[in-house]
Amino acid sequence: MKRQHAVQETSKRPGGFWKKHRKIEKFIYLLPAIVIFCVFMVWPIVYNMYLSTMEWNMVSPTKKFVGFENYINVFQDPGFLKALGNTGLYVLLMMIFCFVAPYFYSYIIGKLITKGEKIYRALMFFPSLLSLAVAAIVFMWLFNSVSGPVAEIFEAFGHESPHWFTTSGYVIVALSIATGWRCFGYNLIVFLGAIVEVPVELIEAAKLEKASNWKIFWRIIVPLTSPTALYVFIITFVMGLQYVFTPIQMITKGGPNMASTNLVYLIYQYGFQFFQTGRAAAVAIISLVIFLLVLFLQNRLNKRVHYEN
Amino acid sequence: MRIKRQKKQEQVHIKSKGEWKYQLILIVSLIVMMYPIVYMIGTSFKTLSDIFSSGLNVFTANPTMDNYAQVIGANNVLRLLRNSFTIALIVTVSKIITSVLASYCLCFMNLKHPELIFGLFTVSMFIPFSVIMIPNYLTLSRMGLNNTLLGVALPQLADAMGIYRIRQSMRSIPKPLIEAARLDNVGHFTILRRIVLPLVKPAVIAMIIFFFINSWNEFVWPMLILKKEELYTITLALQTFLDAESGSAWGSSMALATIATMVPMVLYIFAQRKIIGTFMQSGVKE
Amino acid sequence: MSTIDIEFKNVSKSYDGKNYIIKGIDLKIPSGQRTILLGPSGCGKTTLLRMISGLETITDGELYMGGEVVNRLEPGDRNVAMVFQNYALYPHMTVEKNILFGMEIAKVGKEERERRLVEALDMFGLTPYRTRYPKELSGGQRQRVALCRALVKRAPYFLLDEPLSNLDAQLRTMARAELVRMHKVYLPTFIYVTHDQVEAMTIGEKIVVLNEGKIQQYDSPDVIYNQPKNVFVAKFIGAPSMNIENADVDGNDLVISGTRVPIPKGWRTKIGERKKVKFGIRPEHVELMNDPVGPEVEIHYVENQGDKKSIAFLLDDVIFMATAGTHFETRDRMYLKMDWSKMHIFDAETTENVGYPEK
Repeated sequence: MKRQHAVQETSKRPGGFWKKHRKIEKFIYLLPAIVIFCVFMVWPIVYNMYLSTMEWNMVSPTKKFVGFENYINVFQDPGFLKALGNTGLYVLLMMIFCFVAPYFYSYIIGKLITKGEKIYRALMFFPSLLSLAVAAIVFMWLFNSVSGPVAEIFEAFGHESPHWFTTSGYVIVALSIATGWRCFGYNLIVFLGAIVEVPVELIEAAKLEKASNWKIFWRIIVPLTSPTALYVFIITFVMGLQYVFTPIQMITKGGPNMASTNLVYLIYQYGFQFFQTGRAAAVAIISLVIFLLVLFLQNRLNKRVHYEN
Repeated sequence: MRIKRQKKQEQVHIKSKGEWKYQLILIVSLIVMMYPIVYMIGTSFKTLSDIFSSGLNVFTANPTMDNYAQVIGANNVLRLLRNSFTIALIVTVSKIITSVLASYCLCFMNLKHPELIFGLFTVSMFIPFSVIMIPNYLTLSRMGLNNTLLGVALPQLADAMGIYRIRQSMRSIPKPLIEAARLDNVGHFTILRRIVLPLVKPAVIAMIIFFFINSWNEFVWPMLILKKEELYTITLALQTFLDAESGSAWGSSMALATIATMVPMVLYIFAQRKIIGTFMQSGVKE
Repeated sequence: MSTIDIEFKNVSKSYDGKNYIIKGIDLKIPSGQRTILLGPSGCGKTTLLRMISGLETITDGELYMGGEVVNRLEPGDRNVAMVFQNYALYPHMTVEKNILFGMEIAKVGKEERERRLVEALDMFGLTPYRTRYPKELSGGQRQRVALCRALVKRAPYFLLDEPLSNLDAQLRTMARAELVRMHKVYLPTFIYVTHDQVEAMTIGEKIVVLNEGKIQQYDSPDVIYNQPKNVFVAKFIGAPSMNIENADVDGNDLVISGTRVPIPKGWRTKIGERKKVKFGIRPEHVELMNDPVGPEVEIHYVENQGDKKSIAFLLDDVIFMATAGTHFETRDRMYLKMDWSKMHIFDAETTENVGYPEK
């Protein structure tokens, strides 16, 4: 009874429309973001799962339910296995270029030098401003096996430059270098943000005990920046999965003989070139599962690291 | 930035005896990292014969504007820029509005489970694009937005990264500031406009630039949606040079790449410190 | 407008439904009075204040303001002005913008706004700082800007959440006087949260002593000091705090750590049938003499506070405190003289005060 009375009192008071509709107001602030996310993030995942159980060519008005057939077909496709292996290689190389390297560089820039760190970080971030398409086209010419600068260097040492984009093996390295170059700076800055926060007293204390810079990195920097490292690890994994798509599409189209294709490129080919939408969806779901698995494992590992400290 | 976080900007260093060693590593790395950009710009001013004969040298004795003349004429650069700009503008404006509103709601509107809602937003930051690529393509086709600039923009009208960053910045605003305003009967929208926005301005500006550059640079999604050449963005137009096996388009492709890079470059120079500052705060803190 | 007062009726607060941080508060605050909510940290005093402001919801019970239940009333509709602990000045606005902002929202006329602004700035000596930003001001100036901002609202309720805790001691003394002066001019219902008993004593007309979410005592400063309702209030108010020791009642004698003293006149009926009580006496009512007027004690240590000294001494093996103007040496042996009429007796079980003899 008394509560009701209070409500009436409230509504009697002067006040804007929103006052009387607080719940709606909250909802309206969140609504735009939520609608976009639901329509273009959540729904697609659900729809993708649905599509992965269908046989469909993207244009026909009817779809045929085939259960797990798409998944079975995909796993029997040597192209898929090739793409899976290549994806592993891309991810590995991207981990070196965009996780390990920026970790060390951020340590050097953040803690080991006394001059110029602002210039280094500003300039090293620079390539991250470029489009992956720009990076791809620049590296296409840099790695040109006839007269690109890289070929010139090989020549100067008396070797013939490998044909980067037409040789199996080399092609993944070259494409990863292009992508890694473009993404290094961003991760460097994120790492730097975490490393700068590491209290300098801890490092000074370690220095007094004559710990080497190498030891300080492993025993102090890494444990104290592991949450950030987890974040960078995940985005690097995503980069290895999908950022390489642009250079692949622009330079090699997955070739030579599928030597540079990866899961994402395969999804694109299944979906938009071979019009096997069901298979494309199946590969997409598989890539999502792999990603979630890595996320889960890394998270477990990270927790263990934390409890130990 | 006026109120908070002025302390940590100055880094404290340990004196290290071997600093020159590290400086050497950094300088060499920097030269290697900068080379592709300088190469791109340098080559865009070279004639074809110059390119084949100059080796590693990025500079030329006889700079030419021919490559630029060619791309401006043949590729209709103005149209490319206009298309890119249109998409980037829609995307940026919308992303910043949705991010600011959602962040404000998460921080200051007494939601029941703000952490949960925020968590769901954050998770979407990590969803690989490949998983949503085909369904989104189908959705847009069904809406008849295939081959339209709006179709490129539509799925990107909100951004989890934006919500993450701007919320992080809003969280550093002391709660009593908002409470003081609420006691004065200030409505939420006024609090947002007159108190919160001025205080998170640096983060908002950094995100505006980040969104704009990202949209400007985007390749895969426009490639799927835009098939007509008159709708190409400048980034997408780079693919027209790829079939030229001979290398005759070497100079002009670098010219177009340079033009495509100008916009992000200028924005970066304009707001370098804000961008670096915002991203340095983006790591996960406990 | 009806007579303004604030009334808590069995008000409780819990965040998780299990642990209550406010436990059934009943409290009536008359209008125009300076009321202090005093207690140690975590006692719920700030929560109570925030309930009045509407910034904190009420789990159970009713809160009345001006005769109306306001449990669900939005903070902005309660017509309260508040000064926050860290002042909550808008850092991107100048002093005058900070002060004008609320009035602008409330659509106070332009001339009236300016009039109140000038008056408030003048009252607190802030006129020269009108166009400064908060970060360009000292702590004391910021605190006064926060007061101005609350003052110009002309709200009937004036809430202050430890507004002086960030000031140094000297400024605090001045600010206390300023607050009282301001209150006497505008006479709002003034509710002030603090953990500092000196602040409470000097500013308050009435003090609500809180502990663990419950009201311990609600009285004037004098009553709270002279007739604390229970052991908690007795120990919390006064520095150094009251000596409290278990005592046995043996016939007409009180036995305090081995020392037997006759129960003074008038106290016997108050103690009644109790066999065990808690005996309390403030240090300023304890004297140490050279002549053997009472039991012999040993000086344990001396704390020099400048004008006076706090002396800890051992009566048998229990430490007592006394205040004195003269110095003593550790291990000196002295004789104890207590002003028995100033003693307090509490129930050993409930720790409630048993009362005082009629004068």
